[in-house]
Amino acid sequence: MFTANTVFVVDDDPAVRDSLKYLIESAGHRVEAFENARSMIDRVRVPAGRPVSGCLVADVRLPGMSGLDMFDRLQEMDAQLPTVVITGHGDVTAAVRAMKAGAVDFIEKPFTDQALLDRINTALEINSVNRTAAEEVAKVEKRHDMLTPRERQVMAAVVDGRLNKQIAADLGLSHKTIEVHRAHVMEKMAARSLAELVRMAVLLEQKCAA
Amino acid sequence: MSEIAALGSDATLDQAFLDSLSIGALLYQPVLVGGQIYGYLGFNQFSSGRVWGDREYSALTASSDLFALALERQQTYGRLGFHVSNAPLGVLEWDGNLRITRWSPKAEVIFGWTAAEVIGRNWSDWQLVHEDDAEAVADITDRLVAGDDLSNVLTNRNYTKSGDVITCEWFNSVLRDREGKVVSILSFVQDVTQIQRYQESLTSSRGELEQRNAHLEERVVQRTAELEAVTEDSDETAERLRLIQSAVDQIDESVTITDNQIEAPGPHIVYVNPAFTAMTGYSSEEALALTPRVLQGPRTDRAVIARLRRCLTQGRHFFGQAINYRKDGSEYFVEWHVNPVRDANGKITHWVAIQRDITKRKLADDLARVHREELAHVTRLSAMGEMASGIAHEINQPLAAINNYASGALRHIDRDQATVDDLAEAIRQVADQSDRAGQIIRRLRAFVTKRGTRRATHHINELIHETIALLETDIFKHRTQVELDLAPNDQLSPVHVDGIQIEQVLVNLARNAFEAMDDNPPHERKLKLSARPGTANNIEITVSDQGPGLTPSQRDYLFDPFFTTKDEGMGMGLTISQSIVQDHGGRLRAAPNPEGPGTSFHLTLPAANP
Repeated sequence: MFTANTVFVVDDDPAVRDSLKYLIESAGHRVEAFENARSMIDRVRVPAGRPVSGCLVADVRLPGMSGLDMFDRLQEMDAQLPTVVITGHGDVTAAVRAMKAGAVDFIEKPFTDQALLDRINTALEINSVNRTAAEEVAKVEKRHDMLTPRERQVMAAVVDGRLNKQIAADLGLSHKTIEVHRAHVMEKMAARSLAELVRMAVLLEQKCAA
Repeated sequence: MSEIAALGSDATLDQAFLDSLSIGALLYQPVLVGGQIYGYLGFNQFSSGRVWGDREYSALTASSDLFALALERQQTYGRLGFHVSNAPLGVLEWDGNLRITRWSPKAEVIFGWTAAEVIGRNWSDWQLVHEDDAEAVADITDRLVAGDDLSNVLTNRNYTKSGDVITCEWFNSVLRDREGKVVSILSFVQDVTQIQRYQESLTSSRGELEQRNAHLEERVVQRTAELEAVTEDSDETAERLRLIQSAVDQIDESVTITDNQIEAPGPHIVYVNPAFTAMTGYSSEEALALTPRVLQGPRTDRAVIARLRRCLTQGRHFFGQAINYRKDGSEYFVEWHVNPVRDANGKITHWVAIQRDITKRKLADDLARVHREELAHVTRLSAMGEMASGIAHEINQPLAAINNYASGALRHIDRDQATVDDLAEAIRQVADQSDRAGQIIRRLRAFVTKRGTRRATHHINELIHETIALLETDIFKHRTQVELDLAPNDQLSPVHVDGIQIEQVLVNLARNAFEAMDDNPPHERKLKLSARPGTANNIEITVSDQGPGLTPSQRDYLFDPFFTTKDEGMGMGLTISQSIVQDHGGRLRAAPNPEGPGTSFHLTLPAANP
């Protein structure tokens, strides 16, 4: 679990690896460098639902675990680690492959320091946004867990667009009861408007679907 | 003499003789014995004459007849006796009691007993006749005596006085008186022992002979059959020989057969086939007077000949290659086998050599080898392209590291986070990585210059033609056409260059041109190669394409390392080409085509010093 943003670097060439670490650190980031994808994966083990804070810079030619495998593993772990892939000059094939596998960007050698750092920042941004979103969803989930079964029913109907009296009729309860349940739902879900509630519901749905 | 009267024949005595007798009267008569006058018988009176009368005449005649008779008889006996004594056969006479009355000297010789010892004895009285034949003899004599035979012949065995057994043939005849009583038996005897032996041996010889004959005939039949078989074989063999001969006459390989005299002046050639003549120039007749040594010469490998000699001496098969010389002195490469020919006892009687002219093959092999080397080098250079991209990758590593360290250091400084130690470390790394990059470059150059330069005098048109040959595959792949505009050879001075390297430059320029025209429609993919005399004793070669051409800035960077307009290019080809050309004292530059699209590369080379 990493509280601080960490830039993970994977490159098999020691000089390149060390110099990257030096460079990225000089920009103020925290860096952890690895020789190969396997050791990086081992380090980055994440308990489910807790995205990693940071991003990954990896050379496309990875010995041992292939680049695609690495992406797959990261996907499995739900690590949500935005990756910038370093490709060889003019290696379009590799770049396309990397993007399809899920990299957020690629950069060709030889590159300027600024180009790399820019991409790292972008990746961290994305990571941050993702993390925020994930946190948000987690919160909503948590709140939803607090609902009673009846409240959940009501929420589902409300979000569906049913009027209170219709819900009362559906559930065989009085109109007033429904109003009370509805109020509780709004409160527990901390939704300030129906629209917000719907948004939250959609989030929950997406999470279930994933 | 008064009365001389002669009786009888006309023969008369000589008067003078008569006168000398002093007789008164004579009556005489010739006595004829055997028709010849033996003498005269007469009555004579010394006193005076007398008249002879009939009484005297008949007395005289009777007397002289008797006398003649007696004389004849005597003569006959004498003659007979003589013959009997000298006859080659033994003559025996027996009386009526079968007692010996005559025993000739020859009989003495045959039997050993003298006449005195046997006269009067009967034949059965002593061991004359072999007991086994006694019966037969008795039978014969009985028959004679009995009158059954007048004569007979018998062969039987007898004994001699010394006890030897002999075989005799007896010819017996019997004489009887008027009453038929036996007067005597005459036997002629011949010792036929030897004859008999001869006969026996003859018989056995004959028997043997017959046997041998039969055997011989058998053998003859057998031999005839064998001979026929042999003749058949021999016909077959002759036929086979003919076929083999015709085969040997036709093959390309030269066949030489020599005798077994290994020491000089030998070995002597006893046979060569027509291929030998074709290969060496020596006719068959000439060859027969030669030894194979004449084929060796100054550049014949002595070690190979020594090995040949060792093999011959040890009776082993030889195989080797060497330079041989023809009758006209020209050289050729030969590869040959030598094998011994042995007789039934395993002794070497001849050597057979089969030779093959491998001059062409050797030249082809050498040429192939040269081509392979050239190809290897050309491939190396073009493979250098692939290699270069690998190298480019490799160089990128240290370069990236250098970049990172340097930028990182600068950032540290910017943020006031730099410590001297920190910066020193960064700078050290920069230095290290630069070294690393340098080494990679060095490896690349080593690869290029590995072969070393080999300069020779060439005609540029030749090199251009060879380049086209090397580009066959590319021409096909890129579907381009090649147009040559070459000045005639006598207008172009030769150049002193490393042909391979110049070809590499041309190949590089051509390949670039092909790739430049890949996007052109098929009929606009013409590569033009020209060679002209240039200014100031130079040769100018131009390689033009119909591609999109170069921008001015591209032309600036054109010969720089790692500059490329290709997606998968490495950017080393033109750099190397230019360095090769400059190495040769020439120039390589690019210019847009005066007419139409595309680029021309102008390659200038100095002419070779005359």
